[in-house]
Amino acid sequence: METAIRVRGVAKTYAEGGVRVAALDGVDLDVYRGEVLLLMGPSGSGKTTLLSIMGCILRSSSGSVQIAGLEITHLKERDLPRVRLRHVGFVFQAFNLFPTLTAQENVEVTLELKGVRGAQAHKEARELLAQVHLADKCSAYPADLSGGQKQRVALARALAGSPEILLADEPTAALDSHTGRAVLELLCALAHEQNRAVVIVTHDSRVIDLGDRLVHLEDGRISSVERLNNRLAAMPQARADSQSTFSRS
Amino acid sequence: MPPLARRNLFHDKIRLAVTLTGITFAVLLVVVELGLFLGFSTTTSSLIDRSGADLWIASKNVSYIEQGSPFSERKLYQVRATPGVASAEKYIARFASWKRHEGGHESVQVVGFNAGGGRAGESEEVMGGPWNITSGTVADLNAPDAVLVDDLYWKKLGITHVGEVFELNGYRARVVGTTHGIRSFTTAPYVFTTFKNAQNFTLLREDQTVFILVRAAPGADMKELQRDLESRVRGVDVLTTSQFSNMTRSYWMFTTGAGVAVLLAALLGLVVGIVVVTQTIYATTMDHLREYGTLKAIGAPNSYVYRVIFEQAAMSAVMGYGLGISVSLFIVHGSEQGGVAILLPWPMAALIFALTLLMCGIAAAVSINKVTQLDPAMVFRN
Repeated sequence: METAIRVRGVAKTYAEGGVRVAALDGVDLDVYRGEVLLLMGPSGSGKTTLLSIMGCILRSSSGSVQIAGLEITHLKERDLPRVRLRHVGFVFQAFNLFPTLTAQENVEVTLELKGVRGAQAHKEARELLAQVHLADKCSAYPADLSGGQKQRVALARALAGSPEILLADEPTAALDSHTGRAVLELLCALAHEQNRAVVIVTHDSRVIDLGDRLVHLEDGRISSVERLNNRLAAMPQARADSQSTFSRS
Repeated sequence: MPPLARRNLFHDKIRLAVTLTGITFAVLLVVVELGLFLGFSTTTSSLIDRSGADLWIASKNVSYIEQGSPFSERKLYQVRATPGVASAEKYIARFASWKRHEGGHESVQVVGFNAGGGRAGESEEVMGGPWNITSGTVADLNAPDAVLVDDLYWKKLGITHVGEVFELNGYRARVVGTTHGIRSFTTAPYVFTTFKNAQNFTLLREDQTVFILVRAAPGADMKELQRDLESRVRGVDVLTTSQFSNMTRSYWMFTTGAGVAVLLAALLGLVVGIVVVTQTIYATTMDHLREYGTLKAIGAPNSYVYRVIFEQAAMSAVMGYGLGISVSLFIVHGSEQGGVAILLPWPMAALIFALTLLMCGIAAAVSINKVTQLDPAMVFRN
């Protein structure tokens, strides 16, 4: 299978009050297209930092990160937004929708950034909202939508322009369990159907069965990698140096 | 394109109202102050600018029209004898005392010119005469006691109707007509009359004049004529109309400090506008900071975010300017009925629009500085 994200020896250190704190320490990880990878771990284990680095939002202190085959660690700061825009879609815990824009316009913002404008943007935005079962909510403002609907708009926005990678940070944290599961089911289904690589940071152990692999982080290191089903049996084993890997199914 | 800038701007109606109020008042303040400056400036030199003369001959070292001092009228013949001079006339502009019926006195500025040959509505044929005559004619001034007074000052001088008689420096003065909109920069209204009458009203000797107005022959070289007159007529200054106009404006607007005060007030208006608009646009930007962070996180370049903020500022500028200029037009119109002229010619309106855009652009630039430093990773922090 095609590797969407390749992380090798990535470390990230922060300076806090003159003390250097290691948020990530020598992480190796491959994420494949068509795969839903769950990233779990206690608070402060480095999940969001790893997600930010894989999303080209944060730079690693050392190591190598490849996005769709492109080595990004040596890119200039001004080039990173272009990589994000082209290859990565984001789903945030707090939805981060533009409250003054309708659902359709929220999706169109991303399309416009990707160069899709006018009637084509309207058409694609409506199609994306239909994919997340919100065809009848195109003209609704975020304030008029439920939490689940907002997250589905955010999902449609993340899918705009067909990025091969979707990164979701606690996408169900602000939703009740039923709605959260429904949103994740939709996200996973779209990832599988459309051959996208999906990385989901979550604390919610009830959604583990929706993922294909589960990566545990502890103290900035990968402590374990679990294969959760046989759907990706043909997939090469993800590297996780010095960590145990086993299959649940 | 999704109307993010417009929606952000209109989302908070109260903040929008505050922003627009700030811009409107800034525009209003700048229009009024610059308009006053322009009005004052135009008023100070209106007698010179509307004289129809090409050259002014004044006693030595006169720096503004009200400063003119008498010299021998024999110089008029030297002037007329100079090649390149088409016509030359004596002219008086001097202060005098106007006695109201009820006994009070008002200072006026008597303007005496050669009214010979003037016909109704064609006062531009004579040099130094009044304009905007609304009743009576220049020819009516040829009567020994006739004067024209602008209707803006009738109340001040106690005039109620044409034909009324007053006392001017002890001489009988009869109002034979009126003009409209000829303002005086000083508190002394202009009283137009013939040169001969003006000599009496200003107690000037019969063989004296205060200025000589010169009209050059068609095709004459003005510089050469000026030099020629300077060499032929001794003891006087020969000034082009534009030189004398600038000297008079400069004296009243800058030497007296009146213009500087008005310009400073206009600058203050601009500064107040910038501060108010900067504060409100900055606050709006802070309100939407998370959205800008989201935009940057999903891959929007800084330029896209800047554009959103600049669009908001530009829309604020256009709306604020529209409101400000509308209110200003009422004030400008109102000033036409009063003694103080606030002028708003279209180049000034265009300049103020550019200033408004600049003001809002500066406000946006301050906000942009904050957005530039925004870390897109903030989207993961809740």
